Amino acid sequence: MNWRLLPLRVDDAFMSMAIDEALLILNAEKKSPNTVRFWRWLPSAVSLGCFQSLEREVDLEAARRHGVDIVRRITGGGAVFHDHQGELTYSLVCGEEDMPRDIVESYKIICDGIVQGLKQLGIPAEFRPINDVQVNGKKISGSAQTRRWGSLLQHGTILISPDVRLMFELLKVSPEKISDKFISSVFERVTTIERELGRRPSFEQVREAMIKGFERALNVDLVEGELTRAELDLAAKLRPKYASKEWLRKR
Amino acid sequence: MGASEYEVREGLFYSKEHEWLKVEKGQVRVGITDYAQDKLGDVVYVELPVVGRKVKQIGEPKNRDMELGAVESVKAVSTVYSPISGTVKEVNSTLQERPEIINTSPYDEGWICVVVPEDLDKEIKTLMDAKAYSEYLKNLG
Repeated sequence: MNWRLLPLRVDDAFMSMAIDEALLILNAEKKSPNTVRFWRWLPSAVSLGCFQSLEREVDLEAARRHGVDIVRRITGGGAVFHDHQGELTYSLVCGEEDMPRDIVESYKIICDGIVQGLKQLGIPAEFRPINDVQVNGKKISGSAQTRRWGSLLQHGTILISPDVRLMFELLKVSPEKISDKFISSVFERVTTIERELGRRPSFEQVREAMIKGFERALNVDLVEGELTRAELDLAAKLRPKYASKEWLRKR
Repeated sequence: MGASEYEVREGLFYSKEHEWLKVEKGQVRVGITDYAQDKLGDVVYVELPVVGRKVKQIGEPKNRDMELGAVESVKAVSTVYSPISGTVKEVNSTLQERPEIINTSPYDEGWICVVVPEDLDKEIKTLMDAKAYSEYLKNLG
């Protein structure tokens, strides 16, 4: 079976979320094929889970100071810092019928794309339920999923070399936790491609490895394609929602 | 858990997407089934519909007019579809403070909303009764 592979895009947080939702809506209407894409954030951004509290999760002043965007996702899960220089992000959209009904089973299949992709790069990784990929017990990728209107959207991080200190400035962690000891304990629980390889591969190298990994995990051929006019138009229509205060401050 | 271990309550009507419907006087009460809550896992947030909103009965292909709300569990955010067309009359605001009652009491405390149906007699025929839904769960494996 063929799925569509989109070219690497670099967009702001609002456009990226709008593209993901447009793909989900149009896939549910059977107007968009099953699709995998890899993309980057510009500028760096914090994304919030669909129903998380903005004030509780993000240091708004720090975000302003560092020029970091804040966006609310339509997927669940926690607040995540996305580093323009340090993260490759993936999104996958398909029909619900193309994945197991069981959510953890579907995470396992999709996250196996990352596991296989990391193997291509020489990193021994494994799926850790519910939705993480780990290397020797340290998280290197996290994902979130939503199922709506008959289709499934999953997107997630692939950590290449994120700025962990900046992450701590932006995300609200209780003050007693922000000690060097706590930060070093996070370094022990999180890892990156750069740390595992001892060098920093290019975004394109990581993407190529992930394409092979997803083809293997999904048992499909990823065929290069472009966003359609309809997808771009719908994304342009959805972008203002993601950029709006109402959406951001929903909770 | 095997299909037979999920509670399916007599007297309710069921959609293929695992919503239940209970007929009350001039209105229906809606929620998600025991199977649905088990598949979702621990519910952490429920997005309720706005009172007064018009919804359409779930059908194929699904669309946003059929959406009653969304449930976020530790695993994912999933749509709750409306098993009936009509107007939302009342929502279970307890779910905002205690979303976990969807898990502990899907058929009672964890109801989602009350809908005033447009054409109950016609649409209810497209839903399953308890026996048919039990069979349906068995076939899902």
